[in-house]
Formats: sequence, structure tokens, C-alpha cells
Amino acid sequence: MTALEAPPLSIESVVFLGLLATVLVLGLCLATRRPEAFTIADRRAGVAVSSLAIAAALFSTVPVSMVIGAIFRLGSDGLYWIVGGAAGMVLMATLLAPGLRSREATSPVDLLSRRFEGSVAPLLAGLVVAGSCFVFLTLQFLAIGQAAQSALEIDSNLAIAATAGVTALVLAAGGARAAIWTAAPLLVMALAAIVLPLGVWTLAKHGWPVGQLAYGKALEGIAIQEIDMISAELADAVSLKPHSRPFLQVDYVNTLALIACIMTGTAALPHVLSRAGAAASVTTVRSAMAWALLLAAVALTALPAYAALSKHEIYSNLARGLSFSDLPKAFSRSDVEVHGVRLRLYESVIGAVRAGAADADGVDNHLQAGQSADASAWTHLAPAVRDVLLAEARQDGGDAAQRFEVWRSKILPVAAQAAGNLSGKLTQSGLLIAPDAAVYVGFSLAGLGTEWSAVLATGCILAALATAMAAAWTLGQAASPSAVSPRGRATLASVTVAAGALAVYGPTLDWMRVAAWTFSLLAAGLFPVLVASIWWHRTSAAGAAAGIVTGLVATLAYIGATEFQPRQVDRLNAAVERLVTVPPEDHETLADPALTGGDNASDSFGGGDSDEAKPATGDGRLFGIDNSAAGLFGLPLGFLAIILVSLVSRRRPEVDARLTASEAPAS
Amino acid sequence: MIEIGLGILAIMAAAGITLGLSDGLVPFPLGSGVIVTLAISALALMLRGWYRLSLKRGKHSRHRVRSTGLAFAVAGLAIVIALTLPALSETANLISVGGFPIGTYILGQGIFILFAILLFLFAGWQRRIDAAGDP
Repeated sequence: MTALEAPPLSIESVVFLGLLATVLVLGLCLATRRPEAFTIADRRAGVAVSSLAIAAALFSTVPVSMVIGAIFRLGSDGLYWIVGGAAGMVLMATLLAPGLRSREATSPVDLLSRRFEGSVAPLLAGLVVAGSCFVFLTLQFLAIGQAAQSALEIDSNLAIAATAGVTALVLAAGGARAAIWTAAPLLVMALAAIVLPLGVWTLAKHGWPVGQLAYGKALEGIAIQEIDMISAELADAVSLKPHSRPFLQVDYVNTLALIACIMTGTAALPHVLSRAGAAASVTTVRSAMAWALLLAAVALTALPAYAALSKHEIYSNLARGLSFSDLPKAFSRSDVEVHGVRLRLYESVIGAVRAGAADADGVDNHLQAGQSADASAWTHLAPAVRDVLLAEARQDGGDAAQRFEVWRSKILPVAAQAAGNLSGKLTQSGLLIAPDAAVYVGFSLAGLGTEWSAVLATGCILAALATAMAAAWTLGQAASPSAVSPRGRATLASVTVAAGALAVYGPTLDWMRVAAWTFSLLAAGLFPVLVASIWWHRTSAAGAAAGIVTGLVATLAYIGATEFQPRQVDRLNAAVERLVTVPPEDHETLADPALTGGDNASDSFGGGDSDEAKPATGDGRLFGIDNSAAGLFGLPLGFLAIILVSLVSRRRPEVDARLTASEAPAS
Repeated sequence: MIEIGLGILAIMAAAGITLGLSDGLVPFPLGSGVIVTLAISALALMLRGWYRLSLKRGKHSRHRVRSTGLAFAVAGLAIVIALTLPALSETANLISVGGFPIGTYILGQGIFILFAILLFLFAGWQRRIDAAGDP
């Protein structure tokens, strides 16, 4: 194909590129060489701009599609991200942000540098900040790639490369000034693009345009559909977890542990704190934090609504006993799998047959050689399914509509039979939807047209871009303190591009878990030292360093042990439980059967209490705590190390006097 | 200060229940909810006592003590709300308004409204403390 025959750009690509170009032009217009402007945006941001900038930095820290996916998958149990994040904002607004600004610091690392001059503590904090910001930046790029691919039909790698390039250029040219002043319009556009499609959806389906208030009908519908599906044997009563019922997928203790880690991790988010450091005054910071939470709430309250509406649409289709030949087009998306077979897999097999693959091994070799994402799916298929895929691939006529028809009416029935589904109908267990893409599937099923899912995807991209600017700026600052110098600007651009490269070429990970680990590391490594350095004048440099190291080591050790040495954790768990569990002979004296209702009382009423006396659970977790909440161990240990080491360190009255002077009433 | 004394009593009561010392003394079982409530109340009482004691002693400026007390009170309230609401959500779900199970609604949306109000109040209270300064 010659250059003249290249296909025209789609309208989605034009809009995406247009938005990036606008951000680039706006960022370049804000280019500056003045250190004050480059590092703290001259501290001119009032309440309006500061609140928008803070909300922009916070809003997509865990990308929108991931939060919707978590709530879609876990139901009520997925709401811990929202509860923890909201509470974390209160902790940040009360305990950290005003203190950071009142000490004239521009970031958490800067705060520790001013507080503990010449100590190792700022260096250690810099490592925590750089690591966490790098993860958050990579997450933003991944979210941008996913949204572009899922709803705008733009190649994800291309979208990531373009966004990383624009972010790097804007930040290298304008630093904090560009990051803060572009964040405001980006957030406004993102909020509109996220809330508007929800209103359209609920207006069309429930007759009410305020989506956040209208999705109660969807929750009611889900509850009825869950019962209907189980009654019609279209869903398994054991595997189907009711959407609104808490603690079914994440137990009570882990929910609290996760909320605690996300809360304290959110409070210590370095890229959000840096925005507070650039506000005009301490009073501005306090007001801006409240407004930021309210602004973020406008869109964040839409996310549970999106998850519920998507699930409602999907369950509506399942509950009416859909036969495979009636499957809607939405289920042919590449992020939807029916009994292990995607339409894309069928197309990959067609490609393999055309390339000369004669049998199953040939297809396997072709998919492996091309490093196709379908290679793994192919190897897990039953022989009967492979045979029908090969047979149909050989007869393929090249028509997309015909392929879809063959996939749903010829291939899926065979795949269903191989999986033990003899009903001829689509069942809940046979349908697997990538949680991040559930909302786009929901849009398609609701019949709202692709334009509205494109608007939502654009909103997700804008929100991610705004957060990426904040994360990249803070990462660059941590990597190179003299950010305004040419070397600093180059470092800023380099780390941004490196995060983009990781998003494109990096391994496939459970990024939601990686995000949870990052929050845990912030909760244990940064939160204690920031609270202590602001509120406790006695905190010494050695205490601060000890707190960071202890928190980090405890958290990383728990993550490492549970991931790689679960048996050792089980042994430790058993040893700890032997220490804390009351011996059986003492139990007899303490638990009088006459008072507790007999020997079987605990079976009937006290399931939670009886668990405490059980031997080691054997799940490779200490006290049953999942490693997503590993910070729960590091957080108290971090505080303890700071207190103990500071108390044995030499008291420095001059530091106390300096800090007291800096806490005079704010003007 | 009386609050510190009451706080110590509440801590002792929570410890006693945890160790099973209340078994036989109370005609119904005292669960973990009572222990947590007592512990939180003890902490709140002792912090209140410390706050009043600090104001009275005058070791630190009045502005600093009041600012510190306000910040930790609001943060503590947020922590307590965030950690107790999930436990109450299942019971609250028995009530449904406009199709919303109340527990799920509060966790998904209500908490934002609650915390935003709390932050606006915090900003206002701190402004008043700043305006009063150090007499």
C-alpha cells in the first residue's frame, strides 16, 4: 500500500490527536525559565485553580476504568477504594497539606529536606516518592492505552506513545506552571465527559438525567436478576455473589485493612501534596482541599453508578436465557470471552490457517511465533473446540458479519458443550468480561451508540492525562532536585518516557494489585514520617530515617513472603496463633456452656469468634491479611520506630524553637 | 482532668472484656463491637483531656494547641467513620430508598458528601482559630 492509499483517520483519532495538540500548545504557551514559576508556579494559584489542580492530581490516581472494573467485579466489596480515598483526603487536608505549605515546602521530600537538613531521611523519602509516582504514571498511560483501544479504536501503544511524548514536552517546557494550569481545563473537560454519558444512560433507561441519583433502579434490577438467573439455572448460587451484599468477596477484616492502607496511602500521595505546596497560602490549601474533594466527588460518585448500570445490562441479557445464536454484537468485543473463546481468537486462527497452518500444532506455532495474546487461550481449549475453530477457519469467506455469525452459532455451542454447559444458553459462569472494559460492554448493550462510550473514554483519557502530569512532575522533582536546569528538564522528560515505555513493553501484571501495594508502601513508608515531622517537634533525623526504613522493610517483607514463601508465612502464623490463642484447658473455665448456650453455640452465632481459635489457615497470609494491605504491618511499626529512635536521640531545642515560630497563625 | 480518668476506665473495661473477665457478670455476651466502641471512646476522652490540660498549662501557645486538637479531632472522626461504616452497611442495606440500599449508597456516595462537609467545617473552624490568634 502506498502512502496515498493510507486509510483516512477516524473521527475518534482526530478528536484524540486534537485534544493532545491542544494540551501541547497550552503547555508550550506556559513555558518558562524562571525557577519560581517552573518549580512552584509562582504560588499564585488561588482556591479555584488549586482545588482544580489538586482534584486533577487525585482523581485518576487509580484510573477510572480500574475503579469501575473493581466495583463491577466485587460489587459492594469494591467500594473500599472509594471509602479509603475519601477518608485519605480528609487526613491529607487536616494533618499534612497545611503543615507542608506552612513550612514553605514544595513537596514531601522538600519538607523532609528542610526539617532534617543533611540527613538520609529525605533521600529515603525520595526513593519512596519516585517509586510510587513511577507506578502511578505507568498506570495512567496504561489506562489511556486501554480507553483508546476499547472505545476509540486507536492502537493502545500509539496512544500511550503520543500521550507520554506530550506529557514529557509540556513538563520539560513549563514545569509546575504548565502542570498546574493545564490541569484545571483538563479536569473540567474530564468531569463533563465522565458525567454526561451517565446522565444520557440513566435518562434513556430510568427516565432521570442525574445518573448518580438514578442508579438505585439498576441496583434493584440486579438483585431481581440475580435471583432469576439462579432460579433458571443460568447462574450458580455459589459462584454468583450478590452485588449489594458486602464481605462476600473481600472479608470484613481485609476490607478494614484495605481501607486503612488506602486511607493513609492517599493521605501521603506525593503528587497531590506537591499541588498543595504550590498554593498561594495555608488558608488557600484548606479551602482548596475541601473543594477538591467535592469536585472529585462529582465524578467519583459516577463510578459505582457505571458499574451497576453495566452489570444490570449484562444480567438483563443473561436472565432472559439468551441462546448463542442470539448473542448481541457487544459480546464479540476482544475483551469478552464466552466459554474461553473470543471472536478475536477465531480471527487469529483464520490468520494462522491463511499463513499455512494445517493443524492445531501449526496454529499453536503460528500464534506463539507472533507472540499473540491468543496463544495462551488456544492452548487451553478442548480438542473439540480447536477442531471446530480450524474447520470453520478453513471455510472463512473473509466477511466480518459472517465471521461473527459463525462464531456465535457454530463455535460457541461446541465450546459450551466442552465446558459442560448443555443448556444451549449463555450462562453467567460462561461469560468472562475484562472488568476494565465492562462499562463499554454495558454501553453497547444499552444501545446508546458508540459515540457515548467514546465520550466516556475521552473523559477517562483526560483525567489520566491530568494525573499523569502531576505524577510525572513529582517524579521528575524527586529524580532531579534542580528541575529547572537543562539536565533537570531532560530527567523530567526521560522518566516520563520511561514510564510510557514500561506501559507499552512491560510485563502483563495485575495492576490493581500493584496499585494496592503502592498505597501500602506510601502508608508505611511516607505517612508516619510526614505526620511525625509536622506534628511532633521531637522527631529526629535518625528517627525519621528509621521510620521510613522500618515501614518499608516490614511492608516489602510481607509482600515478598506472601508472594514467594507462603509456607514460611503459614508457619509464622501458626506460631503466632499458638502464642495468642487461649489453651483448651483455660477455654473450659472461661467459656461456661451454661452461659454461652451449649457446645454448639459458636456454630450458630459466633462464626467470627470461633475462627480466632482455629489453627493456621494455611492460606499463606498472616492473620488472614491479604498482601494488598501489607501496609497494615508497616504503618504501626513505622510510627513505633520514629518514636523510639527519636526519644533516644539528642533533643535539639533550637529546632523546636524554629518549628514553633513557623506555626504562627496563618495570614 | 476527669476525661483522662474516664478514658483510662474505658480502656480497662475494654481490656477486661477482651480477657473474658465480664463473662458471668453480664447476662449477655459482649462482642467486639462493644470493645471497639469502648476503645474509641477512651481514645477520644483521653485526647480531650490532654487538649484541656495543654490549654491550662500554657506550655504551648493557645493557637497551636487548638489547631492541633482540631486537626486530630477531624482526622480521627474521618478514620472512625471510614472504619465503622463498612461494618454497618449490611444492616443499613435492609432499608432501601429509591431503590438504593442505604449501606451501599453511603459507601459509594454518601461518604463523599459527609467528608466534604467535614472539610468545609474544618476550614471554617481553623479560620476562626487563626483569627483569634494567641491572646
